Amino acid sequence: MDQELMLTEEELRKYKIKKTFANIGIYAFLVIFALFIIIPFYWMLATALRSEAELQQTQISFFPKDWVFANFRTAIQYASKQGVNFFKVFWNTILVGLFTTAGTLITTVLAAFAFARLNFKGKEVIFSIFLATMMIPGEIFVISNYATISSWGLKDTYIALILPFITSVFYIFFLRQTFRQIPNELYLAAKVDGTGDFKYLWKVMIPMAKSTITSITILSMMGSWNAYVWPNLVSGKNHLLVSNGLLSVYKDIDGTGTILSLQMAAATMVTIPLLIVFLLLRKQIMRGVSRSGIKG
Amino acid sequence: MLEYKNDIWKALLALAPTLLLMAVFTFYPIVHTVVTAFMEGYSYGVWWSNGNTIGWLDHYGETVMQSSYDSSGNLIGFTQTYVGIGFGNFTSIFKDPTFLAALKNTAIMVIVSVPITVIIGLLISVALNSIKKLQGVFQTIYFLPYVTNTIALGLVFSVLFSSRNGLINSFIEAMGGSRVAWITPFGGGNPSYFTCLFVLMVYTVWDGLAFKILVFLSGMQSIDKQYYQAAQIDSTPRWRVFTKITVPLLSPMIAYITITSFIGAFKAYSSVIAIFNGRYGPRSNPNMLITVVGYTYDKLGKMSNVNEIGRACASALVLFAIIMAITVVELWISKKKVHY
Amino acid sequence: METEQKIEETVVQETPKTSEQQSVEVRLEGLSKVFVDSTKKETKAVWDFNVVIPAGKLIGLLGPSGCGKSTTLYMIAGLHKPSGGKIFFGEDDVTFMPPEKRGIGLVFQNYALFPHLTVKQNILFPLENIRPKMPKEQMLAMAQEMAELVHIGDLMDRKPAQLSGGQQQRVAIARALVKKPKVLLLDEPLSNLDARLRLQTREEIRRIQKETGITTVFVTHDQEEAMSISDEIVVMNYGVQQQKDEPQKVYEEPVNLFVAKFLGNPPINVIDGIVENKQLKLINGQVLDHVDIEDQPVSIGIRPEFFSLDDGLKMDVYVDMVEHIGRDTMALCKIEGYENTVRAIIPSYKKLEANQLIKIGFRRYFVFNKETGERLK
Repeated sequence: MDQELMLTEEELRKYKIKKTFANIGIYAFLVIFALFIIIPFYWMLATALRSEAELQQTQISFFPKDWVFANFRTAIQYASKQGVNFFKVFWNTILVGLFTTAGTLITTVLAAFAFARLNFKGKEVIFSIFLATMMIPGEIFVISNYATISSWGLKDTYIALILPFITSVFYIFFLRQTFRQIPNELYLAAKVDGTGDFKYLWKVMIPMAKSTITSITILSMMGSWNAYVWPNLVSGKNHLLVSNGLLSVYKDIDGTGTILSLQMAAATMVTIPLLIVFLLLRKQIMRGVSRSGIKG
Repeated sequence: MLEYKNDIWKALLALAPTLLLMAVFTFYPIVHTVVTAFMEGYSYGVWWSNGNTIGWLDHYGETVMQSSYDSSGNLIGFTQTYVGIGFGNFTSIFKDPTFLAALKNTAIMVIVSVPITVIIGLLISVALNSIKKLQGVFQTIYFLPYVTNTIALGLVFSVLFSSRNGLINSFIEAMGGSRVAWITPFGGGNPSYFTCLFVLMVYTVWDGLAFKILVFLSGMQSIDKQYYQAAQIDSTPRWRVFTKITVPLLSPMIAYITITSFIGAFKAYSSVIAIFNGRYGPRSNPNMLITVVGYTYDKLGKMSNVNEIGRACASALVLFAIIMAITVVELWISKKKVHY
Repeated sequence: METEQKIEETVVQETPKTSEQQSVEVRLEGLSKVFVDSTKKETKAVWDFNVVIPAGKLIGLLGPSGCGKSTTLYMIAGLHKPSGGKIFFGEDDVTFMPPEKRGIGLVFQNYALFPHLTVKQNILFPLENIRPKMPKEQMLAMAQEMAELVHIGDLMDRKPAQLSGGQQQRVAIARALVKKPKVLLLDEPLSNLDARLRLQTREEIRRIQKETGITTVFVTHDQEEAMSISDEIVVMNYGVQQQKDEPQKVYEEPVNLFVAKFLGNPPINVIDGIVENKQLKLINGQVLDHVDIEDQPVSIGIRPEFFSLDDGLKMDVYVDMVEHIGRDTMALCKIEGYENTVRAIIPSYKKLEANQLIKIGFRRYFVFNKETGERLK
């Protein structure tokens, strides 16, 4: 038996070679898909930097011939010629993102607190109804919300962009789970000292749910940065968000090479801020997304 | 918890903002959408007056008629009109070739994109999980699409596949092939349904991988290492380890990801809009890849027709029904197949 | 919110602010707690509990898990509302007072330290709720004083996660004591510590209690813990008080079989027996003693250390195994006709071999009613 289990030198060498090849295979597979992910980003940047003359040609090189950084400035000027202030669009998005996030945090923290910590009749029923609404696709709400916002005369205002999104059943659920993990003894300990419920929320629950609250903040800000459908319906020229700005200003310009670089320059300017935030907060963002994803 | 506490007032206070917002933006829309879907010839709006002029403001806030009148106050009334209750909106959208095309397109997109994304995501996760060096770097790269703007990168894909000077065609030409009219015409030839769908699917996979890899990987990292050590002792081949250990133990995640991907894919909209620069297809056929959601939003955009909002509601309900059906079927299957 | 404010204001008048605090007697009168679950099933967690805890004493509430001791503690704290009965602190009826008005300090089994706050902030936490607000310096001074008392004065800026179990325990005690409560309540204070720390900490608790002279009630399932530091122990089972006395007294003179079994390690030997014609017999017929008890089946309790080789009453046993455990020798014996093993502890200098029939002597024994467990002799 012992003899059979022992590997001869030849077999060991074969095993090592096999293992090395397998490893090379795995890395090759990963590199190919990494290129698949990265190339669009590269092409965006490369096109943004190409000169007008270069884009007029049908033969295109992988690397830009000249680096025309002025394209970024030109892209902004192009937008203002169309009546869209590029900086205003950024500012709108940040403003809407901040207010939506702040509002969402206030409403969801309070609601999650009620569901996790307070005693009242019908708690489970209300919570189940809340959860049931998560099954319904958002498109159902959009139609009526559009009618509601219009009939209130709120079209083309910040309020229209913020108000419908300052609460979220999903975040309430997410926060409630976190709140419920706080040991009951902490609550009793606070009660012994006469701490009121809301004070306990502020001084103990919120600080202890910090990482979930960070996740919600990041996800909510990202949501505003990516919002397209709703702002497209309710925003006029004054309240465009970045996605809408991109598509309305730089659309249908494929035929004319002069503008292609501007479109990509604008896309770069929209993409880069979020990428920088991601690279800075990589760990928190990935943890937040995976935790919120696995919740289901 | 203090078992004798009754916090009904505190709870009302804490829930008030959420309840109020949900009443207006969640519960009312559900009722309103269902009711409207069954109202035939529906339209509604607001009568307004600014002192000497009275007008009719439709639900898009556009004044559609006005006349001089003497009155006080600003908004003076809210009217909705409809001609009957019934399935008229549903029958009319199911007779509409655009809606049928939208249903067909959406179904094809779902069937193509979901399995591809889930399988590639699973393979990448397994590969990632089996390496030590550079794991963090690869993980970061694969996550990038998640934190990018859908519209911006959709525009990038349309440039990548541009027939005149896109990267893909340049590459094909360099390899000795001839250029393809992917999404823009080339040499007199218009892009075909297949090429347009192909580009859209490449973008959908690119965009959807990040989330799946993240969820799969964190699922795999929570699998007890002992299973793999046991398999290693028996010198189990990699493929068997994958099919006999990883997949079964990961099946709850796979089920979850599949359900959410199906739902997500049925709601495809922004990716189409981005790739085709605000349309649903190439200039030669602007509705080529219209989706159910796209159809719904298009109805909202056509305010002149009184019936359109009812049809929008009807098509949204059809979408809801499809999503519900898929969720139920998947939950039923996963109950049978998921190994916990 | 407004009502809460008001409550807090009234608290102030009753919450002592001076460091000199009179210790107070705690009296429970017919205290009961009945839990009703969703199916309307009633569970009597505590039933008709009467006990007087003298001022300044350290009392251990002892019992197996689920015996209602923690519920009793939480009722004293005001975290559970009694279903019946009354709680007095001195002359004050505190039965329906909220916890913060009672002037108690509570240390939880898992310490319940706020993980996001430093040691200092944890100890300050109870003081910050007192209205009108105390000056910051005064609060800090009080916190520092308490920290010194429990010997953690140099750990004030750490977070709980950076402390050992024993240190966390001290922080929890400091937090409970910082408000100068009238009564200190400890819920299983040593159960989360390792064996070595447990010895150290229980002496520490004793020292702190002696230094502050505060009336202290602690709950435990560990008899050794309760016996070693309590002035008196109260043994509970199924929500009912079994016995209350000084620790040694409870050990020496248990009132019933439950108490006898619960105290002592290794546990008491319980042997089925019978009384016939005033004679105490084993079921194999051996006569052990003459007793003044009516004829009935009984349980005979003999603590392992009651055995000796030579003196006292005699019993025929077969020595199955001999374990030398240092100072003593433990003999595992079989009695004819019995399934269970009898443990006897005998000084090591007495020579004893395994696998032999001997007559073993015993100096004392208890007799309990077989049905009720009530002590007969």
